[in-house]
Amino acid sequence: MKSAPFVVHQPKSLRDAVKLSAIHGEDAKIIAGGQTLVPMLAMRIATPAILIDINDVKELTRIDEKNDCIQVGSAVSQAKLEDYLVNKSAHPLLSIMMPWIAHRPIRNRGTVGGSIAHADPSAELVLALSILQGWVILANAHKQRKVFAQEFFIGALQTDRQMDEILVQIVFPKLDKNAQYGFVEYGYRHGDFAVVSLALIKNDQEWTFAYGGINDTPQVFKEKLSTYQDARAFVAHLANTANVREDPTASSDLRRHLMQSQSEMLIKQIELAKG
Amino acid sequence: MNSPLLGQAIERIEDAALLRGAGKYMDDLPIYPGTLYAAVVRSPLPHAKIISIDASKALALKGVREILLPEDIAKFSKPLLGAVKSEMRQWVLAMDRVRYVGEPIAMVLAESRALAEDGVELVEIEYESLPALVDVKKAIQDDAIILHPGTISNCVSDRSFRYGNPEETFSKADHVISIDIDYPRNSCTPIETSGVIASWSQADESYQVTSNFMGPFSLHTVMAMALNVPANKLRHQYPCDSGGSFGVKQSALPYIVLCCLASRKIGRPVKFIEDRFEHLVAATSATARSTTIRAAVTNDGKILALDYDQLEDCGAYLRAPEPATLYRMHGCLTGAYDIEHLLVRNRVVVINKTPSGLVRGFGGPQVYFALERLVHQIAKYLNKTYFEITALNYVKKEQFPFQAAAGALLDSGDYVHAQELVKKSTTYQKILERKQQALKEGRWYGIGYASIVEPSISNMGYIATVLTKEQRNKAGPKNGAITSVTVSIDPLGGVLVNIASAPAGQGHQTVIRQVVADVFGVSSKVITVNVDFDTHKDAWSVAAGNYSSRFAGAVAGTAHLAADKLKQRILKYAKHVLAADHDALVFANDTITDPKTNQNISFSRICGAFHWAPGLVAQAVGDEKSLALRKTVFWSASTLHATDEKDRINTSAAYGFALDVCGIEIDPITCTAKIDKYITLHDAGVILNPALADGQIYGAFSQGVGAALFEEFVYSSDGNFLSGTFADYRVPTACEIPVPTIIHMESPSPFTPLGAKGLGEGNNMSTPVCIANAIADAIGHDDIRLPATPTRIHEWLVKSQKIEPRKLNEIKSISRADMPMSAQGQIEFGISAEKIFQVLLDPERLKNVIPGCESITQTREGLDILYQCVAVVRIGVIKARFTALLRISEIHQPNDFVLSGEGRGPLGYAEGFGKVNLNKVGEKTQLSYDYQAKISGKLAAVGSRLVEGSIRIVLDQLFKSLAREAGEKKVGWLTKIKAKYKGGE
Repeated sequence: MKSAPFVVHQPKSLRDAVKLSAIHGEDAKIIAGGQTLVPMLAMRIATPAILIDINDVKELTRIDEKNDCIQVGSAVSQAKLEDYLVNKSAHPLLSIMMPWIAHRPIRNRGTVGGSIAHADPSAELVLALSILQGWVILANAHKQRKVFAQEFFIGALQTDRQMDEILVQIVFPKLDKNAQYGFVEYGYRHGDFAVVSLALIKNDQEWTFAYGGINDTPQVFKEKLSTYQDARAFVAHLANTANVREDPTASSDLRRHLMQSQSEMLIKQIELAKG
Repeated sequence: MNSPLLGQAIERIEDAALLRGAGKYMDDLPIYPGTLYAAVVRSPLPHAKIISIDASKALALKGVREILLPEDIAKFSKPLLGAVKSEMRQWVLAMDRVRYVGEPIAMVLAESRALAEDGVELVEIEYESLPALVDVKKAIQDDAIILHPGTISNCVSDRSFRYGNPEETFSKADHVISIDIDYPRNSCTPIETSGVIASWSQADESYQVTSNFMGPFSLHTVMAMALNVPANKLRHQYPCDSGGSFGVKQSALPYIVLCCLASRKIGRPVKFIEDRFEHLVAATSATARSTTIRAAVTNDGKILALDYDQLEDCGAYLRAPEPATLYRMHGCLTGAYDIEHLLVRNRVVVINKTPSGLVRGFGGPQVYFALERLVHQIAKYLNKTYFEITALNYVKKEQFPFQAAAGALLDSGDYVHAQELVKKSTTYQKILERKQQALKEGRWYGIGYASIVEPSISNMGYIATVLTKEQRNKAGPKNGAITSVTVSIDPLGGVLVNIASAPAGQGHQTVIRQVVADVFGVSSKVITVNVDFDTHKDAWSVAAGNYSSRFAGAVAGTAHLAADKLKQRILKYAKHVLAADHDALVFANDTITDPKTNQNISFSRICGAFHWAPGLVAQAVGDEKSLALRKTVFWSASTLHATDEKDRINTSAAYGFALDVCGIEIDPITCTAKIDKYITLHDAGVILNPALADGQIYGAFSQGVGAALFEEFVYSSDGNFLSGTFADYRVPTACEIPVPTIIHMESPSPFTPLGAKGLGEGNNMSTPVCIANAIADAIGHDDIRLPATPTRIHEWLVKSQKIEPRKLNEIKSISRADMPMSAQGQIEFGISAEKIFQVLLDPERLKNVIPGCESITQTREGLDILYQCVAVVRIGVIKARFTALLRISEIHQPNDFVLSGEGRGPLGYAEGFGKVNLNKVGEKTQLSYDYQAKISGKLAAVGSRLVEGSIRIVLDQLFKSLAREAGEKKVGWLTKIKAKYKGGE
């Protein structure tokens, strides 16, 4: 569990960072919090020749709140965003999801950009960006581009980020004032990867269900449903028809069960909240 | 007079250092200049022939100094001795075959561990894969591949035992009730892994080792014999701190032999610290066991006879002291019950998994999972309560000491009274109420029970029970278990106690201080307890070490005996000094007092005289032997006899008792078993330190909860290991473990010096089955497997019709057992199938398709086209380099072909095959694939959650790249992937 040799670059600006990225391309990996990368380096599952450490890139450590969204620099720690959301009551849905990311000591180091770029199928931030229809800003040495979550997350650990690009910013759109929301997650132990997680947004009669952990990327379903009974029927249908993976962690049957039981739980909460 | 320290919750003296980071663990110890660091080259495959090993590239790496290879092992060592006579050869490196994932093949020695790991990646090994045996029941079938050529069966020991008249009892019984169980592979995962520093001295041809190997030191002889030196040429030192052991550090043994041989080859000291990945994959495991157990029962619930048929998975090699997991419990297979007739069949089977060994509870969890599930079933079947059945069957107070059918001499106890105590507890009343309430509300709440006897202080002779009477007679009798303690007093009256108990955090120093302070009537501050253990300097014998809960009963007791002997010496001289005419001097408050005259003298002064004025002492006492203030006592329980003619064996010196009850509720939303309340009663004889006793119970309980609900070493159906991280091997944390209610009872053992018995393993034995019983009760399902994960509980809820089964239209392709993963997908292209085939058949163009392809050569074999290449596979941050062989066969241009491939590299071994179809759909070509695959080695062990998705990603990447080379434009096609995959095992 000692990593293979690598060289670390510590650029001080985004310009220098993307320049390094352009030079080294696929030989390099970006490192910020290192909460996923460092164990993978130690186990030699990742063996990059070069690490580009972006912790000193000031532009990437900002949180900017706009009227309709929150722009988060990719090197912002998850703990910093978590605290910001609590203090500013800025984004209630995102705020209730943050504590589910591993443990606080991991969130102290782990970054928002790291989680999004890693694209674990069970990650809370990946699920949040997907249900909110948020987007990311990517930069290479020449230009920046904006990619929506749906196009960005391609598969398990696969994103649309190109070898010479750096993830600069993650933008989480805010919820509509009247929207109702909920989040629930099931993992075996405190801080474990989600077996199934679910975020839910209800805007009047429009319901959005987003499930994490059931497939390679979060699965988002939007449907107009006029009654709570319809909503329950809809999630039962989803649980029976969605593509759900099976792996040594959990059977697809359990995942389907969790999809339905957790959805029903959230629907009930929303129903009760409305009186 | 000071009140006795024994029995008080004295604070641990060990903690001051440990909490300040001043512990001295293996990796903290100083090393000689020039020490080299070792890393092990391990098998990525469960079963294969080793065709060749090429270490040249690794040796050429700067910083790598030497590589220990199988040929060196053959030159300098002998195979490890086993407890069962067999043609199985067990070397510390795989010689010509690998038999489990993680098996050591070579050891790289370098100037740092990192460099050694660099070297490991460069050792090239060619294998010929063999079918893997993963199931004991299949492994003993006639057509199974033989794991160890030279043996005639994978069942390496098959012994049957018969006590009383079981056949007739079964034939006449009112009821015969039976149950089948499977106990899983699991472990206790100490925080500190194994570590070894070894050096070879050419001058006197000896080895010197420091390691955290915890014993039993009977295995010291196994190491010395493997190293082919007399035992006194293998000096072993144990450091004062060890970060947990739980039996598991016994698995340091092969590393000790390896490091010794490595040091011998290079002529420099060698250090090895096992990393977590290595520890999980290849250290050791509890045995998995399949048992069919039957009971002959009367109408009112009296159990007259038991019949065990136990099938033991010991992994790829029978590593000493195995098959001890089976035989440690042999004498007390009838548990806490008075059952006269007993049948036993023990079969030991080798399969392609990590060799099993000591794990806390050792044999207990396996036996009680069968026995106590059965007792639960009996109660259910006869429509009686568990307590009604057990009250009828428990060994009664007046029967102690009680000889059980298979030979255990149960020393003391009052099980019926224990049951009354539990019944009276408020927690138990709560559990009963909660169940009634839950029943009313339609919730799934169950109550589980378990009664166990907990053996401690193993009889070193018990393992001979695996031999037949004739074999035993030939080998000579073995019995007993020597404990040795040395107490000495220095010229200032300071007391030093040396013990060979190799503690791993239990607090041995604290308790020994209590024992010895009480004997001498001195403050515990003047007592130092040395737990470093040096085979060249300390008193020890084969039973030394840290296992079978032997500390409280044997080690603390022997310390008491040794201190008392010294006290008698001191008393003789004190009588003279105080001019006392009787022996009733009082040792208290650091002073020796004659209560008659009130004359006194300080303890330190009288001890000082033995050093400064030996002439005076000899004159007064008149016995030269009494001059030394140092005493070593060797003690062995008198009740530990060798296995007798009728195969009866008193397997342990003392037998504690534990009775557990738990209330569990099944959460219908998550299918999780939630422990509502848990009671655990323990009778471990005299309790030496209640705080440490409770600490042991909490620890064992946590591991019991782990075994019951969370932990399992998972293997795929093709023999690959899938639990290589703590994300996959789920040890529960403080958040998942409730605090049990503890009840103590004290029935002193008549056979140990202080009346104490072990209690550190009880909950490892009782908790898994207690929880299983509660789940069975809650769900109404009898076939409970451990760990009872939500996936399993969901399945049982469906089977017991508590949850509706899902009606799905999933397409499941038939996947081969040896290819447990499958992937299917579809990609649409805007180019013709012909163009795709052009690329496939042209190595120059195919080179552009294969990611990271550095070189490619094409050969033909009949109609098949073969490509040999180097490819780099990327999945997110993972980057794996493979030397790959691709084969295109069954080519039907332009419709379909079969693409198969295998690759190997530092991350493991991958193999897959599948059919690729190309269909014309309007202007477009639709490519669809259906794949089966397997991945072994590191990638499988640490990435099982994501590995199947990864296979599809790699295939998608490959076919997309193929389309691009064939002329497809890049834009837009990414979003057209519509892939679906399903899981196998």
